[in-house]
Amino acid sequence: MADGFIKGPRPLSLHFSNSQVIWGAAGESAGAALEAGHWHKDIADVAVLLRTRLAHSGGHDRFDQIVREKANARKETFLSGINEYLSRDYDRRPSEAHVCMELGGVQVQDFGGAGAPILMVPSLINPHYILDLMPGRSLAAYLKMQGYRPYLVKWGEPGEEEIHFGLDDYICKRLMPVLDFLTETAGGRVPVIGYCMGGTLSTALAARTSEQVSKLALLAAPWDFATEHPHAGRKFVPAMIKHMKNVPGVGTIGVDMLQTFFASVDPTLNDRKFRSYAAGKYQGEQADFFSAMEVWANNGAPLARKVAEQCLKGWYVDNDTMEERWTVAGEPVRLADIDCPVWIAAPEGDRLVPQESAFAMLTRLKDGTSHAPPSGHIGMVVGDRAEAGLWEPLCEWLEAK
Amino acid sequence: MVRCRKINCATAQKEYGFASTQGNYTPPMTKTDELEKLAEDFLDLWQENIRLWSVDRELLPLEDLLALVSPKEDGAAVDG
Repeated sequence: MADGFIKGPRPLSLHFSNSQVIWGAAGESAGAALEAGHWHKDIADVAVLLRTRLAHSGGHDRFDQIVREKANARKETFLSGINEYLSRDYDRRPSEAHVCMELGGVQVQDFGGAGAPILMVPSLINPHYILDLMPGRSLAAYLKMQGYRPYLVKWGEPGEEEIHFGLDDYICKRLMPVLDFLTETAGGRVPVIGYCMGGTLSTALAARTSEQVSKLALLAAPWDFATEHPHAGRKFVPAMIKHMKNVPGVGTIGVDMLQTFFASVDPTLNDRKFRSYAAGKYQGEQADFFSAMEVWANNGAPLARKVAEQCLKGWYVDNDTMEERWTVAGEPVRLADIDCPVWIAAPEGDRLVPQESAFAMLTRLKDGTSHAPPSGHIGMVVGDRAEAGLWEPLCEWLEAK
Repeated sequence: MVRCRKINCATAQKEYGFASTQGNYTPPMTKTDELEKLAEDFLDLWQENIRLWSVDRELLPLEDLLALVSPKEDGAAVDG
């Protein structure tokens, strides 16, 4: 299988543990939990109603027994869902593209066509191909249909050189030469699209190479790491820093560590997903999409140590981006240095990159426009509403004078 | 005038606890049915509760999840 071979979910042991804890505890003493559980304020009244219903039914012991049986059944269904998913064949079907440039472990994929070149920069976390996930769910293919010639950066595994890289190295020694190549090919400035962390990197790129970037589109790109809105990554930082102290030398930060973070954002998500899978909710294209998303989410290259340290300490702890202390090529990255129009797309309900974090740039940009897609962090790019919610508005903005 | 209410088997069983000898009807909820439904509702609520707390707390790693689903030591009533 190209570009990823672990179907996940990973770390599998963590997902099993979450399921055991959630359903095991539910089955231990449900009646007592209704009396004195840690109920969230949004549903505390529903818990009171259930308690009243239970009081009227008068069968506490029987209720506990039934809950235990049903909780065990849910655990079994979760495992069945994972088994069914793992036994299903899946092969990613990428769009036709060829590697036009290689720099160390980094490749650039050229999707071809006679259109105007456009650079696409994905996150360093998870594989690049979220921007070309599968037929019908590919922003790269859509851009090509609209008359562009997409060039997609594939970060790949950190090679001998990249393993010593920091964020500025990725920008100066990888993105800048790629941009040079594209502007030469295009005979002038080119538009740049950056997704998630790739958007933050693209922002620095545009600040340093304003004469080469015609437009900058940022999709769920974090900038302000001190927002009031929950910023899931910020809370995970201490655990990550602690973990990194145990990683010897220049060792990388493994994907499982990052996946542990994603699993902790909502420990119920995988249970709900795989029980739905077992119930046959995903059929046909939706089943392919499910597999594509799982494989994508559970793969990716490890992060170079210096990159991880700069993200965790510099971004999440010190908020260097917003404070304009983040240095690239020896100079702080200032949004005022970006001369081109900037389009910032950020969904309202994004828990990985709060909308507030992405939109924070607007106050300092010379020419910034915001857009709120009706989906989540990943759904905005590949979900059922991606075309109407993101791709079309993006192309309208790219075409506008 | 006395109005007569038509009582079918299901109504009878529901209201008076009569057992039916006829085949084609939808049985009313028994006590076990009610408890089964209540159990499903409880489990859905239990999971939703964890999801909501994970949003509030930004993140819910395994140790925090364990603490959340453990019984309260002080036996306090349902709270927010």
